[in-house]
Amino acid sequence: MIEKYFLNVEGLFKSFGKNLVVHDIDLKLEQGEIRGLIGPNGAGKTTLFNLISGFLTPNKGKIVWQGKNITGSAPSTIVKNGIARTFQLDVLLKDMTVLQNVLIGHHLHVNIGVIAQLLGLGKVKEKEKEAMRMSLELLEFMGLLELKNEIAGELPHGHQRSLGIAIALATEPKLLMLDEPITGMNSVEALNTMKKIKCLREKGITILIVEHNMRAVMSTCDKLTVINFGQKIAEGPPENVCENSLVIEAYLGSPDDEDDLILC
Amino acid sequence: MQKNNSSKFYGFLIITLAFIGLPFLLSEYHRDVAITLLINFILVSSFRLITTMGGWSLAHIPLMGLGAYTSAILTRYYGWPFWITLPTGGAVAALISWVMSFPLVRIKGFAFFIASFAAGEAMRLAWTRIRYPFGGHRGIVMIPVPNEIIIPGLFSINFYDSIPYYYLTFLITGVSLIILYRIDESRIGYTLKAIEMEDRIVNSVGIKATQYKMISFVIGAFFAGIAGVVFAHRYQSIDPSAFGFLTTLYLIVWVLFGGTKTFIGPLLGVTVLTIVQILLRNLAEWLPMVYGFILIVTVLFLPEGLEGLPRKVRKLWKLYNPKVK
Repeated sequence: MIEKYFLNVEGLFKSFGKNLVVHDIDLKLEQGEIRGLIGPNGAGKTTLFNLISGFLTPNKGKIVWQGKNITGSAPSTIVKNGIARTFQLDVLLKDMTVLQNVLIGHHLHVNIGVIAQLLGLGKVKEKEKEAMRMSLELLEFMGLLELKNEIAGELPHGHQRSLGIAIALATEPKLLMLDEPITGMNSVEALNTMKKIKCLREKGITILIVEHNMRAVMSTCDKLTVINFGQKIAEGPPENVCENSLVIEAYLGSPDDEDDLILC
Repeated sequence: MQKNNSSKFYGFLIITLAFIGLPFLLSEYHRDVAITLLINFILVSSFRLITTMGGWSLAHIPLMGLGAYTSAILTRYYGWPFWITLPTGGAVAALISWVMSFPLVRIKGFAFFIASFAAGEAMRLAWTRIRYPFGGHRGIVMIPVPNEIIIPGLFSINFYDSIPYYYLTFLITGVSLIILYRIDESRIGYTLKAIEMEDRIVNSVGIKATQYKMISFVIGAFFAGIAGVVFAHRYQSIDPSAFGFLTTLYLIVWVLFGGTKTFIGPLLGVTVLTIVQILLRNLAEWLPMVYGFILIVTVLFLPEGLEGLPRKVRKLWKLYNPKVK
């Protein structure tokens, strides 16, 4: 059977001890779409990210990527296949410069074996030069070029988020998974970032976003998937999902998220 | 940037010239200390390579011993020339460390200490217990010095003398340090530092962290083995106690005292402590205590080691001279 979907997640289960965190979730992405993944805190969104990117192994279910079963593969294998991710917290190489962070991100591009690197064989220098050029381009795209020699851990939150995206982009992904990319940014930065995300789609990258800022999600995503208590409760275009009674209930259930509902 | 590079180059040049001239200024005893210092340079630098990936291996000195034993056995009992056993000693240490690294690179923190310690001690016990070819407690004596180099009619170099041996060691140390420095400055060095800093990022960009950790462990062991060979042929006798925990402790103090962030840090640490050791020559029994004291003071007041000292001084300077900017 020819796989119809770009990424096809089927019947995924994950539990930590007795807590069932992801409960029978299906997620089907088509090439070139921007999908939003929303849900109240603790709904299992980040766990789902970790399962797809290989940081966790599901108890049951399968993940098929471009017709290839990647369930339970190591993170390094999955990213090699073209799925990159960012992290929720500011997970960066904090003591390194912005440029070094992105250069490390180009590992797959330069990777020609450790021994070859040691002996300086083959195209090491050429590849390094290319990596440098591409890193600078990426930093320019993310608006971080002037900050390239700053220490990553000393950047303001918003810039750290952008850097996280730049590192993920350095792996030249086909699917980019963004975990709360604009949390901690001011509204101008957030708007810019969302613009960039749309721009990435134009370049042919499929995008999956987890984000709390409903306004941003509404205006950017083609389709939303809503999960609560580890289960999918709704899926569809943003306008439809917003009117779904289950979704409203899920969000009203936690008073913290009331703001989001009003935005919606 | 350019200026920084050229000052680095001149610094390097001056230090190199100083080490070339050194043996003519020293007494026989101090020449021996200088040879030991050069051997220790290889030790601390290779040890630092392992620490960049976050593991403080307690098997480093036993791996040095492995190189020493390999070369001693091959030259003493099988008549191999030093020039072949030198790389062989390194290679055997690298091979054994490669086997050890399978479990070692998969564990972290405290467990890594214990496991590497156990692996090193197991090796040392084997030397103690097995009479042939390791010689048990007494070890191996009458290890030949490197073969004489004779160019007929011109000159001959006899490595019994300390000056030729000094230059031999200088050459081996120089080459080792250049290789280790180049690794540190390469993508491999950066990747190892990145692995220690944040392994999630490293995993997420497709780096196989365990592979890199193994490589650093094996390269480190190779140079430890080389250091061991040079050591064995200078003193011409080795025994298991030379590679015991006390030596490991010294190694750790040297590296901690110098600091591990920069390449020069551990080299600085071992140099300063060697000078301290010479000054306290008459108090040899007290040396472990002095080292313990230095370790405590370093951890308390200089957590970044000697290399962090300039920054600290600058900070204090600013504190007491608030007007100066």
